[in-house]
Amino acid sequence: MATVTPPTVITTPKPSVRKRRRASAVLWAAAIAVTVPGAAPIVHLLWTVVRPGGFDAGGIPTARLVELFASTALLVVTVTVTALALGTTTAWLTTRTDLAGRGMWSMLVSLPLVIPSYVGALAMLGASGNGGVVSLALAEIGLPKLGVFNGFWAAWGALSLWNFSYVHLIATPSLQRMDPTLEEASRGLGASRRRTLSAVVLPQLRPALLSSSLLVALYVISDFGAVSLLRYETFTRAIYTQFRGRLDITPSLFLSGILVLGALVLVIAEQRNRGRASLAARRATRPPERVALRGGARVAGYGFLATLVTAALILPLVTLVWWAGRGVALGNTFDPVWTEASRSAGVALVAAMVTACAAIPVAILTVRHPSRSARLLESISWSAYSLPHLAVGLGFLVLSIRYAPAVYQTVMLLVVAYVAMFLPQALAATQAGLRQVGPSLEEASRSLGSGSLATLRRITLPLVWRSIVAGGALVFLTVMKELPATLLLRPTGFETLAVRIWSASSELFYTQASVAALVLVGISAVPLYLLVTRDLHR
Amino acid sequence: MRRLTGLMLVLGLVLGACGGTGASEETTATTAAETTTTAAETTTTAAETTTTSEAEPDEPLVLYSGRNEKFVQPVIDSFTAETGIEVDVRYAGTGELATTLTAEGESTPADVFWAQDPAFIGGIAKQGLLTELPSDVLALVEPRYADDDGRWVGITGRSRVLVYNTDLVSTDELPASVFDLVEPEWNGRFGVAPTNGSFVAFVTGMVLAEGEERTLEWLQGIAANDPVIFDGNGPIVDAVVAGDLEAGLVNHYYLLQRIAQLGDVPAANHFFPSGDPGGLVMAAGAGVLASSDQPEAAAEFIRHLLSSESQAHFLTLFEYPLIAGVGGPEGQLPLAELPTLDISLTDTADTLEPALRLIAEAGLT
Amino acid sequence: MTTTENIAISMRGIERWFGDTPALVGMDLDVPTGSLMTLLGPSGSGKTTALRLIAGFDRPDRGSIEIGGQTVVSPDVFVPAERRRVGMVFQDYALFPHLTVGRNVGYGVEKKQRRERVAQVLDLVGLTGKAERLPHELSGGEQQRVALARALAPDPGVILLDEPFSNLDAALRARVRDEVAEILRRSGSTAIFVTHDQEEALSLSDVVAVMHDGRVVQAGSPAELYHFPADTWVASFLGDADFLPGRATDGKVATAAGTFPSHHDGAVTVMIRPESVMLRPVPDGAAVVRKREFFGHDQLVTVGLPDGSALRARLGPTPLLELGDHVEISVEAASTFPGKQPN
Repeated sequence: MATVTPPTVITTPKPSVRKRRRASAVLWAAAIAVTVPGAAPIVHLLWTVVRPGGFDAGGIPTARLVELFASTALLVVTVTVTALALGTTTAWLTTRTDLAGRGMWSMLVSLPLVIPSYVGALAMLGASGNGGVVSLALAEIGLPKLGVFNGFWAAWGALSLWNFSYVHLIATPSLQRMDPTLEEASRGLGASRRRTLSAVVLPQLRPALLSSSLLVALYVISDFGAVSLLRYETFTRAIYTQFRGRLDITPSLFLSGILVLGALVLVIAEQRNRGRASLAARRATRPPERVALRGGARVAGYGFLATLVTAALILPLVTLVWWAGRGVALGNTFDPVWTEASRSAGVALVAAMVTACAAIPVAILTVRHPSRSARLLESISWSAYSLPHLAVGLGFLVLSIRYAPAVYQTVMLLVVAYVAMFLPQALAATQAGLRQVGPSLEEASRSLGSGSLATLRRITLPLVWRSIVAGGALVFLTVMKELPATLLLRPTGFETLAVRIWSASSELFYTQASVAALVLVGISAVPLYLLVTRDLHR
Repeated sequence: MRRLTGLMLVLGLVLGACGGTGASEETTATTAAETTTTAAETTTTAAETTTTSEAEPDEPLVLYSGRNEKFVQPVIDSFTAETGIEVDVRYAGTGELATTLTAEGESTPADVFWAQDPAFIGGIAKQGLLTELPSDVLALVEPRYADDDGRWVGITGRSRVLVYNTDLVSTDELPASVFDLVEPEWNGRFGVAPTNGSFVAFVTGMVLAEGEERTLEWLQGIAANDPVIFDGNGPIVDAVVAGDLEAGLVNHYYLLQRIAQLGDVPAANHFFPSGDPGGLVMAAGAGVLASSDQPEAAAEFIRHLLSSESQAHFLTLFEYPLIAGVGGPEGQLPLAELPTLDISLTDTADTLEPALRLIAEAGLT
Repeated sequence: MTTTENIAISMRGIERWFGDTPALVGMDLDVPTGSLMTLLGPSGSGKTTALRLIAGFDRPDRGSIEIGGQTVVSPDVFVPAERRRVGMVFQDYALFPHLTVGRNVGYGVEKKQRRERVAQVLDLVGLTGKAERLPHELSGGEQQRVALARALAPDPGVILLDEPFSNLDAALRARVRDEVAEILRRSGSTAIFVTHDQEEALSLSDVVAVMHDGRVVQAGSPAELYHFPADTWVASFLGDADFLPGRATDGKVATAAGTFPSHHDGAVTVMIRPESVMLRPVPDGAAVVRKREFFGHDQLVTVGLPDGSALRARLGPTPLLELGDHVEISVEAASTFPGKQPN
């Protein structure tokens, strides 16, 4: 019969969480293979700065670095704060109030994401100044014309308008899922609505707000097109200026390395903060309470949403359409952009599929076999995504010239760079999907005689398929809009929509730029619509 | 359900193409080995494909063009129509392409570099990246619009001017010299594109004519006079035409193109007198890369750029043709009568480094 | 002692550490073929870890496991889960949400026999006619039976059930428990349940193995364990118990509640379960009623003994005792452990 052993004296507490399992070498190899290429340019850039004598090689006066740092920091801080304010307000108005058409408004304030910031900047230029659309409309009704939008205020406005939707999209699900009983408890303890908002609601939003502010801050640091068109000097624009004005790539690499260091500091700071903030997760049992807005507040709510949608979505589209139409009316021939459109969409599709599939092993590794090394691998995969893409592109450019001339200026290198830069988008989606599929489903399959590959095929992939596709759609959207790395790495003669818009708008060929921009926006709208409806209705 | 199956099939294909990356734990050794083999095979195939396309005998000619597409594409079309040689063009700023060429060195895929100005192409020539052009090509153009060592030849000529809005600036206000722009009366009224190739080239000329010290003084004076900073010439001219800006330092042809497009506009070009560095006539040159594997085709392309047919096309965009017998832009001074500056364009390559350094030192980049 | 042929699962010297934390430390266990065994223990005692090791979802750091006489884990052998022929019923059922009931059940069955076997097993669990449903369209109890049917369908040697009834509400739980036990007995399977619920373990299984701090502290039939626990920890884990100190001489120990036989001499502890205590109200009784909890079908009465210690008695709804009543105690059964126990 069964063995009886004497009582034991072990007092160590036992872990109650699910235990990790060993990941096979194949899984590790696959995950490393898709992650490491993205880290190579970053390492190279950092090396150009920290290597012996690296700091002097830039030939850029320190005072200039300080100046660039200050102007970049000013823009990062102001845009992040503005985007947080705008995005949190729209999220609150569309989830926690009784305004009519909340779903529609939520969709409308998410749609500005189809407009890349450089297209937004182009539209701002096309709307302002003596010849601008809005100026002409104002003159029509006897009002003074707008001055040209440029410099700090224009850059601040453009980057805020075309980034706040990220905050909206991240804050909305958090507001929806928040447990209303906590707020009721607060009210029950005698706290006012305002105090409940600041003491209970906002702290719970903290993780969402932190991660979306990091996202916005990194976008601002990374932005190249909008600040160039609107003529505001930032670190990223200075990198490009150095690149085009020095006949030597070293100074731009040096600046890139410095910028990468700065961005790394931000990423690490956010991760430390997130660690402390993530305990607030509670699942709601009921939908949240909605505030009834009356009178002036109600009008202000609608007014706020309508103004924002007008500024971020309607005005730029109207401006682009107007310029395109005006060019046609003047008899301007603009080049057909269908070739560029099909190239953009084609390369984005390939990049999206490769990225989605590259994310699978990393997602399985990090979700099913969490460990210190797996977390490290995940952080590495985030590096190229979070850091300025102009810098990453320059890194890929130099590395491929030096070590892989066969792929230099090929679509393959372009796709590799896209995968390296956007893997985290697909990864996050796939990880979320995997987390929803309990590991017991896979274990059940194993115990019923299916091996790991068969289980992947029969159980895991069918269940996370939608998440994988969603991740791919996000990558598609981002690749369509990507500008700086595409400019640097595209094969000769491989003009995409983004490149076309950029070259036309830097010469202010509004008609050409507008036509290409409208096509770009049209194509991007499809995946964005799918993603947004999925995100907002979950 | 059925739709899902279809989508799964697509994903399956993608996964298959990636070489089965999604293996979970405890995959048997056989599977691992198979996976590796597949990946290796894929790599081999890709490598083979690359090799094949590179070994193609009649591969397209690769042109790095600092000139814009509107300017370049028609002459490429006629070149391909005449010779059957395809041309792939990489359009970008002259400075961007020059930096790229420097980084690429011998391994550049480019066969021809067509710059906007003499300084950057001179910088490339100085690094030994350009080969000497056939003498019949060099013979087509006056020597002062070509490299002294024959490594690049001017395709078109363009003059630096001050474009100004005629409603906002009266003719008696116009500066007699480019040096007058540092005066307080011009504070905040004009635009410059200090990182643009043609501005840089103009500064190389000023360094040659006036020396580094005087040039730096001028650049610092400009920087202190609150100029509106642009990235390129076109936007400056557009701002002047629209009345958003009073004046700007640009090349002469931008305004002429706008007039052709829009009809009468309230703007005009102001030429600085001979001997003033503000009035430098520059050549937009082209050269053949030393590493090109089809130098004959490349030279043929440059010959084509200097054909009267191509030169006539450039004339429609108001640049000065550099071969004899095509004439000059209508209503403009002939090339020979433009104000001149007594410097050698070849030497601008030597002042490129100081020019870039001075521009940076003045805080304009 | 059973012979090797009658042992379905045998674990020897199993150790499993998670980082610095031990989950199993030298666990030994034999499961007789055809029996329903329960691994019973508080949370964190290592029972689920043990189950996952048997299933092959995890690998021990030390020790060996045999299933049906074949070694599946040893220092040189590791048979992956899919080749162990071990059926598993998960706490959350782990029904594949994208597959119908029929496809779930047929998942582990060879294609040729699938149709027939699915029908057969669905019939066994009483779900004939539900094959085309999707899992979320079924009630909790039905989902439970699908999970069982799916585990049984490939005709595994052993079925493992991890807290299988914890997701059911109390009213349903007893019924489903009986059904599952009945199905398992009819199918002739060897089964191991994991649970922390003593009543469930005692009522359901042929053999109960009690786990504590990473090893099996006692295994035996439910009655054996209840009446003759190996130590005071097992005694109190399996049910209410009071412990009275005493000193034994000549095989007898005298306590405030009476005198009991003892196998040990010297300081001993006497365990008395409330069910074994009878109270009779008498005016000059030595014990006094201190507390009364009335549950309807029974009541728990705490009495104070002359030496100041307390003893609980579980009685029927009568007699009605009042606080302060004097009673006479009689104890039907008691066990003694050597040594003085804390508390």
